Amino acid sequence: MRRPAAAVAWRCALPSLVTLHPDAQSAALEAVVADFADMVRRVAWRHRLVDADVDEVMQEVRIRLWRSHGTGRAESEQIARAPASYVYRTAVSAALDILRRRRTQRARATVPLLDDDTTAPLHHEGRGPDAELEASELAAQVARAIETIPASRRPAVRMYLAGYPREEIAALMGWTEGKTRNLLYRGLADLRERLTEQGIAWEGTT
Amino acid sequence: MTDERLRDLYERTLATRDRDAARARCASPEAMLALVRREGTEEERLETLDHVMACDDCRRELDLLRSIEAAGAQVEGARPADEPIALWSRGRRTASPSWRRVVPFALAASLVLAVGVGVRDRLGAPGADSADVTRGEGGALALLTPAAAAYVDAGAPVTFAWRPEPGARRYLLEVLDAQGNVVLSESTADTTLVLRDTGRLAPGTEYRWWVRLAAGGDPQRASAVRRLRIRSQ
Repeated sequence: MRRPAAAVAWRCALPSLVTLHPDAQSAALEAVVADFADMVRRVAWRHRLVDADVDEVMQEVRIRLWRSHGTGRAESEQIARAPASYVYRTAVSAALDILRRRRTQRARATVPLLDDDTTAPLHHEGRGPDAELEASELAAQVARAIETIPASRRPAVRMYLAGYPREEIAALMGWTEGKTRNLLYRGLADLRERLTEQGIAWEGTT
Repeated sequence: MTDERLRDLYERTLATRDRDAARARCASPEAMLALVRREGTEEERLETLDHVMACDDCRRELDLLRSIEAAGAQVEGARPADEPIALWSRGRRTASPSWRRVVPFALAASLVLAVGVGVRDRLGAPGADSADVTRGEGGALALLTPAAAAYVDAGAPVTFAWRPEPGARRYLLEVLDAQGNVVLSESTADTTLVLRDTGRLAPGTEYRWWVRLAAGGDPQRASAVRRLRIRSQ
């Protein structure tokens, strides 16, 4: 397979760890980790992720590399020969472990005495209690209506409502543009139909 | 009811849902990774995605995995260099590849997503005419001009302006094409910027633009995305 020029250039720019003194190896490896972390951050930032998430993963990566590197094991050799690939795979593994830990912590979490949840119901300035109540009821209707959409279409509708562009839905699911458009439009039609049945009028359809 | 109102209500459903009940159904990390890598059956991935999109915690975690996969894809560099990302990302495979074979798709998806998710521009989505506001815009850096979905003359200088951000020392303005590629990029310490090199913006084409902090202040701060339309000549 022909490799993209940019990838080759990036790879060539990596230090050849095999021939380096152990101290230099550590420094070079840290540079590789830092480069990789920057790449993750660039994408993560566009996803509006907070740096803390990425930092937590990369810190875990550093710990794992530190434990593995220089131990004389085959793993150490692997790090030296393909540091960037190894960092990537380590990052995936570290992220999975972190997510598992978070699930465990969530499961153990108790209900706080004071609800300071920042994602609690939205209150808009200038909106009175009646309007808030109406919005809450409408939201509940929407939630129920979404649940009635066929499972094959519902995730696309959720992504659309969450603000994801159609291309992104297609990319994530590996769908063609036509399939994505079809599922999305049908799913939205389902949703509108359900809501219309509940007496909610539409100003316009897409 | 409009699509915009529907989106607002959907956000409200996420904010007011029973978090404990939702967490009890959270997708496993492995399932989310499989979703990112397009491993497993479509039915399984749809089920995972359905929950992820209804759960703020899982959505954030999915984005983290996608970011790592995107960086990994850059490391592996397996995407054919001469193939457009947007084309390359669509409909190429369906089942259980090794991670090396998945990487290109993760890259393609993530690069499209990188712009798509970040900017929340609802690119080409139904009802996109008024779709310049993104998720979480409430605290976003405020744009002033050009107005949302403004038309500008091809080749003519365009003046961009936004409100100052506390602590910001430098801003970065980016203009993106439909595939999410950065077409024009310029940084400034000011809160206005005149782009004169607009000859690279094709007449009759729609672009997106946004501003983010390049130095000083909160590095997470960014504006929403606005559409910018180039008049046909």
